[in-house]
Amino acid sequence: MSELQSIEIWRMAASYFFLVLVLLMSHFLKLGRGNEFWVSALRMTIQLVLAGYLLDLVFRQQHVLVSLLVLFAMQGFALVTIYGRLKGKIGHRLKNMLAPALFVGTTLPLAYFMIVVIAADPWYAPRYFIPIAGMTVGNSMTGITLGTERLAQAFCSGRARIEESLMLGASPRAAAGNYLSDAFNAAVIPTVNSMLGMGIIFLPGMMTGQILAGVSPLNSIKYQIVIMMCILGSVGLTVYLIIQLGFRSFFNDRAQLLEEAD
Amino acid sequence: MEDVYRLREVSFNRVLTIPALNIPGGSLFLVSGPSGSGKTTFLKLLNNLIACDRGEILYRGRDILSIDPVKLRRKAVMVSHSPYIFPGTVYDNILLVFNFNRKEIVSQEKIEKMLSHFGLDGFLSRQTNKLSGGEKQRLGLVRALLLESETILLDEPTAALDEENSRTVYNYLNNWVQEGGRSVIMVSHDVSLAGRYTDGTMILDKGQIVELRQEGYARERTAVD
Repeated sequence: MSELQSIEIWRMAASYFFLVLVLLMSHFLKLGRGNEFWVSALRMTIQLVLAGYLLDLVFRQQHVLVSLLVLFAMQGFALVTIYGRLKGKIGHRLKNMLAPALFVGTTLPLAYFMIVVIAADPWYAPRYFIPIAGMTVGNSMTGITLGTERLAQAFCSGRARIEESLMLGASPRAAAGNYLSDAFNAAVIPTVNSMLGMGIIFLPGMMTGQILAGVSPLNSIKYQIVIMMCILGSVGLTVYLIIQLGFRSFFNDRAQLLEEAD
Repeated sequence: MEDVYRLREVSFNRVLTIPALNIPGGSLFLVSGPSGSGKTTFLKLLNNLIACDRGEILYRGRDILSIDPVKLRRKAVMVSHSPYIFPGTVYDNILLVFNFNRKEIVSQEKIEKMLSHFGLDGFLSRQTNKLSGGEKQRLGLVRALLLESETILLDEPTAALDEENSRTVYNYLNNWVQEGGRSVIMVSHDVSLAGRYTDGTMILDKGQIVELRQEGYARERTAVD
C-alpha cells in the first residue's frame, strides 16, 4: 500500500468551501443559523489542531504516567458530560455510583486489551493506548448515560410495582427485576446494532482512517474487530456495574424503597 | 396465643402515633378511620415497608429491626389498596409471588379452587390486562393468600367489591384465621360489615387512636353469614 498523501495547507483551506456552501444555503433558506455553522466549524478546527499538537507531544513522551493521565482526563471529562446530561434526573446516591462504574468499567477492559489482545510494547504505548481509550470511554459514556436514565425512569414510574413486590416478600433485586434487564438492554443495544451494520452499511471511522493511512484493509479489519470487542466489553461492564450499584441506591439497608430518588 | 404485633410509643412523621397496642395472634384485627387517618401507614410500618421515627414494633416478641426485612415480609405479607397486577396471565402472577418468596408453587388444583372461591373460576390462563378492577383486587388477595404466610396485612381488600363479594372475602378470612391459626390485620372503611367478622377494632383519626375495641377475643369464633 502507498504512503498517506499529505494535505497541503491551501488544499485543506479549500475544504472550507463546503462550509461556505452550507452558509449560503442557510442564508437562502433564511434559517438564521449561520453563526452556529461557522462557530461549530471554527471550534472543530481549533480543537483538532490543539488535540493534534497535544497528541504529538504525548506520543513522543512514551511515559506510563502521561498515558494514564490522558486516560483519567478522558474519564473525568466523560463524567462531567454524564452529570450534565443527567442533571435533575437522578438523585445523589445514584450519581455517586457513576464514577466507580465508569472508572472500573473502562479501565479493566482497556488493560486487558492492551496487555492480552494488542500486546503492545510497552503496554501503555500512547499510539495504541490513547485512541483506544478514547473509543472505550466515549462509548461507555453513552451507554452509562442511557442505562442510568432508564433505571431512574423505571424506579420513578414503576414505584407501585416495586413496592407491591416488596410487600409480597420480594428481595429488592427481585422487586427491581425486569427494570434492571430493561436498563441493560437499552444501554447496550446501540453498540450491538452498530456491530450489526458494520462493514455492510458503513465503514467505521477508525478503519477508514487506517485505510487512508495506507494500511491494508485486511489488517485494518483485524483492528476494527478487536476494538469493537473491547468497546462491547467496556460498555457492557460499565452498564452492568452502574445497574448493580445503582439499583441499591434506591433502597436503604432495611430493604425499604426510598421516598425520593436521592 | 402470643401477640403477633406489639407496638410501643410508635410514631411516624407526625402522620401516626400509637402509644401502645397489642394485637393477639390468631385473630382478625380491623383498622378503620377516615381518609388520611394513618391506616395505610400503620400497615406499612407492620410490613417494615417504612420505618417508624421512634418507638418499637415487635413481631412475635422480636423487634422487627432485628429480623431480616425480606424474611419479615414473607411472614407478614401485605396487599395494597389497589394491588399492582403484573403483566401476563393470572397464573404468571401467582407464580411470580411464589418466586418472590422462594417457595415451590402449590398445585394447580389448589390454585383453581381458590380462584373459584373468589369468583375467578376459569381465570388461570386469562391475561391480566383483561381483568376488571374488582377481579384485579380479588387476584391480588388470592395470590397473597395462596402463600399461606403466618400473617396477612390487607389494605381495603374489599374496596372495589360489591357486598356479596365482600362477604365472601370476610368469610374466607374468618375461616382462614380460625382453621389456620393465622393472623389478619385489615384496613377497611366498612366497619358495619367488616366489624362483624373481626376480633378487635382500632379506629384512627388524624393519626391517633380514638377507639380501641378488643372484646371480640373473648368470644367463640364462628362463621358469620
